[in-house]
Amino acid sequence: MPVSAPKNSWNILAAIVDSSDDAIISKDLKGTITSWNASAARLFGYRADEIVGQSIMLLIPPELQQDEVHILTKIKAGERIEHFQTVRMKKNGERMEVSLTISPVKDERGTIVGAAKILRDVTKQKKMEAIVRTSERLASVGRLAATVAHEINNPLEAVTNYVYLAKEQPDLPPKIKQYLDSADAALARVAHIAQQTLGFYRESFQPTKLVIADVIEDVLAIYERKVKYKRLNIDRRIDRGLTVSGFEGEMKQMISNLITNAFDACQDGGKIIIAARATCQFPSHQRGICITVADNGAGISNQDKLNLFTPFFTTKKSLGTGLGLWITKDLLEKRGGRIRFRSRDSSPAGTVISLYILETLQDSAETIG
Amino acid sequence: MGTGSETHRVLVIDDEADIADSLTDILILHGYDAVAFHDGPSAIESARNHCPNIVVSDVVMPKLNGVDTVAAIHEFCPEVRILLLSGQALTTDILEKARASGHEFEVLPKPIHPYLLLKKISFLTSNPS
Repeated sequence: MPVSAPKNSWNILAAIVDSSDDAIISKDLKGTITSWNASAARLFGYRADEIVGQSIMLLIPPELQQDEVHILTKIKAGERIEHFQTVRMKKNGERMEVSLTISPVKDERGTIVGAAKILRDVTKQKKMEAIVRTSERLASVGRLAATVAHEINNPLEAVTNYVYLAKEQPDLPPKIKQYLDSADAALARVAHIAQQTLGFYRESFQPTKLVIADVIEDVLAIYERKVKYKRLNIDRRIDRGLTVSGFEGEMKQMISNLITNAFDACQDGGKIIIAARATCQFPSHQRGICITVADNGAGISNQDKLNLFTPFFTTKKSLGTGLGLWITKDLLEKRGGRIRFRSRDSSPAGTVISLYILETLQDSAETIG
Repeated sequence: MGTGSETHRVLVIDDEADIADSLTDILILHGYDAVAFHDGPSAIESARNHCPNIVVSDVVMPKLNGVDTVAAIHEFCPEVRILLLSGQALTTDILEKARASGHEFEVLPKPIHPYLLLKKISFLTSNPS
């Protein structure tokens, strides 16, 4: 309870403090907790009877304990601290971002005897702010991408065509053929990165019926040379006759993201399984398909797993855009699908990633499991 | 490929001459009777004299955009099959307008590897509308 409340209004004040959404805590000048309201109990997980009489340091993460010295110094000087953004620790060790307002509490003679803290959990608010910052960043990247896309894709198309034409010339010296093959492979890489970064293209407004086996083969055809150079062993386990309704460009983009990740994760001579089967593993038990790409490559560390679907996160250094899986997840979820993965980065290492795609296209994210 | 009993006529339209010309050379190499155009009106003029089997066109072009060009060709060559190529997102608005007036076209993103384009064209010629 607030220590300086006049006796006649004690009950009213107590009710106000207790019904506040913010944690209201008081402490003496030694930092011992003297009162603890219901919201404090809810936020921190300590009941009043177990925390009153304990040190305020219990709530402060070890690396921030020095802050309390400064807070107490200011309070003793009669100063108020407003909207101080910091981190506090719950009973279970979990940290939360808080906004603190601390005021000195005086006794009847005007002597400062302690402090009253009003504390608000701003973890959610901070998260929202981070999301807004990210989406602003993405919007500006999107505008830049649209501008650059045209300037890059046109010359890229022309050069790809010229290299193709040069390769088709009869009686090419083997060395020249080899140079052109390398140029073609490098161009395919640029094209892929340009498409991942610059293009969220949709080739039509009407979804079409896509034969999954054909879509996968088309994507594999693009990377034929890469497979050969890296001597990758591709095991296809694709049920024939699987179809879904969707957009070919989007479907290829999703599958291509998975396949190139697997290629990049694998050592030379690595193994990749590409499987596709029918499934009903959706919350609504609707019919759909599951496309799985498994590799025996390096695997994903536990730290990297946390950021796997974060835009601009990449483990491929200059080769990656950090957008592939984020785009894939976004495209899938917009259609009521979902993405699942398992990975180990210690022996036997490898990654299995699966796309669950509804047979009938849904333009809603509401059905995600 | 186009080397069957009948040679398929393909009009390739792109305001970037490098793209129109190189694509045309690739198609000729694979047995198509391909001709390059660098703007919509001249392609429409040619189609008026000789209906093509296929039109491959860029979407965003200065004189007449690709959608209006192929729509015009479609008027007097109803059997023609159409492939649009686009390197940018602006395309969406043009396509939306086309759709509103009853035209639904397939758009392939640039850059498209000639291998895939040839496959598409071969599919279109073997599955006439």
